[in-house]
Amino acid sequence: MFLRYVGRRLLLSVPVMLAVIFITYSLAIYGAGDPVATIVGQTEQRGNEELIERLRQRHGYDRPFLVQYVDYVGKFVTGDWGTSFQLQNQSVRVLIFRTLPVSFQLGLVAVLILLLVGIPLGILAAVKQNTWLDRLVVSFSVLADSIPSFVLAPVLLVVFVLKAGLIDSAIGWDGIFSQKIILPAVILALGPMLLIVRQTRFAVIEVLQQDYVRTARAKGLRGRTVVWTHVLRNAVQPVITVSGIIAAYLVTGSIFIEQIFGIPGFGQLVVTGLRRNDLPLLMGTTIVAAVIVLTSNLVIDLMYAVLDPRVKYG
Amino acid sequence: MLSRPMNRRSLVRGTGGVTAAALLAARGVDAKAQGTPMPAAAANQEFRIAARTTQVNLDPHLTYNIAQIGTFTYFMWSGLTKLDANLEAVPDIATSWDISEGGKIYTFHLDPNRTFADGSPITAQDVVWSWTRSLDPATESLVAGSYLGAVVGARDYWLGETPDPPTSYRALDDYTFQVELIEPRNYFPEILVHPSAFVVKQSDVEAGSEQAPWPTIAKAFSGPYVIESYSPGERLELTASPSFPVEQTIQRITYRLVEDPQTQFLLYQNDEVDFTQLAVPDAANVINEDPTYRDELIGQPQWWSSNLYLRMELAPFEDEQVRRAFMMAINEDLLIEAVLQDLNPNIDGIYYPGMDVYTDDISRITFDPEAAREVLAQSSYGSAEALPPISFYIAADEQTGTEARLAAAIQEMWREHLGVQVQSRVVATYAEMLESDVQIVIAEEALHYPDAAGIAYFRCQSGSNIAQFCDPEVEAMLEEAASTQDEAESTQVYREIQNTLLDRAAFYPLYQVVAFVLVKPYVMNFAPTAMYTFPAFEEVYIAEH
Repeated sequence: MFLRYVGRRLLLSVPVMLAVIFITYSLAIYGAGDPVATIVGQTEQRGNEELIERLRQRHGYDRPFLVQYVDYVGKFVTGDWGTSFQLQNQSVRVLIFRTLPVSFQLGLVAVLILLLVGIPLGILAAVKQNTWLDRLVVSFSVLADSIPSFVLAPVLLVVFVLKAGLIDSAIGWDGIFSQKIILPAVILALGPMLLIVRQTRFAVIEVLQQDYVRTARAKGLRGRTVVWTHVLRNAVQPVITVSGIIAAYLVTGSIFIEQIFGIPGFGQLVVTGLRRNDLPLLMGTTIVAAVIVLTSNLVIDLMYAVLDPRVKYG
Repeated sequence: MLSRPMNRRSLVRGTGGVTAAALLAARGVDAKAQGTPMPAAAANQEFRIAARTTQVNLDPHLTYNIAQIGTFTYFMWSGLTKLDANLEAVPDIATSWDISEGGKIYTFHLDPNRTFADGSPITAQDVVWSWTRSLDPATESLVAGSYLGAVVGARDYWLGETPDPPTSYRALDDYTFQVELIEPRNYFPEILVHPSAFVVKQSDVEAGSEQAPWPTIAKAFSGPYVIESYSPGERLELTASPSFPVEQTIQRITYRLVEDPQTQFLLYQNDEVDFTQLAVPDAANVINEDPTYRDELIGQPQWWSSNLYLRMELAPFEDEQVRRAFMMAINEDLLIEAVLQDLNPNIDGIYYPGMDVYTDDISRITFDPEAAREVLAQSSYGSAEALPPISFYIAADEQTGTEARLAAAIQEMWREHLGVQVQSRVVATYAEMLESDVQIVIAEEALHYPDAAGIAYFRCQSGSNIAQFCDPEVEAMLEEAASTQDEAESTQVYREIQNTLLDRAAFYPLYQVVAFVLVKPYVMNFAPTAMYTFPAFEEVYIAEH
């Protein structure tokens, strides 16, 4: 039953991926302008129509759109993701698989911070509902959510690196056990903090009002035991849903953070593709981002069964 | 030939204040000239650069961006000629060259002691192989045809119109390389400073793979430094080549690769780098507000400018009087002051201060709103009301940039002084703009090799000819100036061409681009030039600090 469910979900993701490729390809070709003309336009050969035409033919952009689309899909599934126009004809597949692990590591640390801070804060706010502590937690979360990362990052860099000198060097990438990851991971985690805190708070409050919790309390169990034993397991399910979506976002959406902190990750590659209208790179990164989101959604759905025995797959 | 670097006061007030010499004295240049003792060299000769890119173009034959060429390529790769500190082409791998009677055949004599970094000799066969690779359509160089296009058969091969590589360049022996040109070109040695003509080793290129692009595993660099490590998007480390004939004082160059200008500045502030480019708003802040880094700022005008073009094949600008009227209604001083915050010098012609052909003895169209209205009234259109709809090209990726702000200011000047309402039109690509009927364009033009022939954007067939200016007489003059071996004659003709273009209101020069950099005071002998930031690098060293 379980495997059939997974198979059906994977099958359903095929038309979704085809639609993603179709929309992205259409936008890249008809929206941002001819990708060949764009790159030639950045050189002193910018008006050389002979050259533009030769490159169009070489890369097949002179063919009808649907032929290009079908050809692209066919090549993509066989592992030929093309070469980057802008990055000296490097393989898009190689570029993506070189940058993804960096973003995964950064995203992982950010998710850990998010969950380790966000869930306890949400529980605290729920348990202390309508007290000053509740308001403080919610206000902090709203504040964290409302400051854009491209504002927060330079401010924290100046404060922690230049003024306080608490961090020697914050720019670049030395892996997850380096001090360089602290600021980008914290800033990345702060963005969706409100969502986690609010979701946890709401779920815990809801569970706290359930009869079985009241019963547990009536039996004389301590507050902390009630929360850990009866509340958390039941409250965590909606939090997991949100966390999964956030995790996918953190891996694929750390664009500003990677730019500002000079982190050679997937987000940086996305920016390069977007900024330079590098069609093969743009397509490759978009498809991989879509795959990550679809996969994380599937994993979340499968985790429901682990967390809640009432959930059955059919 | 060296253009004068600008410091704060000369930028702000035009002249006077702290002189360029005083500014450079901090780097040791002036002290050296006066014979005063130079500070002692530090034990660690590492030069750390914050470079504004995340991806370095390591393959010289696929490098187009002028900033990348100056910042990276020249450190790793060499060609037959190179630029000296005065931006003149001087021997590099070739020790000398002969030019045939008619000026069409160049014979280069290679240095027999010159080797790649792996110790193998650089031969004429290597030059032949490198040029063929650069031109090969499979290499997909977008510009090789521009630089080697003067060579017989090169352009056709590059465009894929002929399958066989040109036979017009050959190795006469191991250390003699000969090339035949279509027409005499007195600037050919200058062209060869472009990476399209640089020498790479065949075995290195063929060893590359999809997983490991060849430059990242190359052993045989032809330039003064070799790659020690490369982490794309993060860091590039070079070390001095043991085989290079000129010993480098700087033993290691470390690039921090960051695209965000603020991050670059932060690296500099945090003493993590010794050199950084500075974005214009940050430069303005250093010049006008925060004095902390003012003494470390260098503003170097580039051989790179921004021009306004009124496209001459499109109404109403086919009428010279209309073009003249529109140009007379532009208050250039106000643009420089209000839009460019006095950070860029204005420019009057197509040549730059420091070039041999440069002269300030020219007359350009100046701001005169009253005369502008009269000239418009005398045009074939007679009045502003009779003009067809006019649109101003805004590049899709430039909507918040300098060009867009300049365009807005100029549109307002035309509205105020001529009563003409010009619409902005955002166009996705340059090629689309050329095919469109948008009549007004602001575009930057940079010299890619140090010769007036590089300013080819008024040639009839040039893809860069935005103005759509085409005059057989000017074509003939350009040909004459490029062909003659008489330097004085060439200079004279180029100046006449400039006068013709200004007389015909073929373009309106707006401003000269300035490269702003911050350099730590202990980096000695650092003197950027008008084309590239780091020539004559063997003189640079890190003083004790």
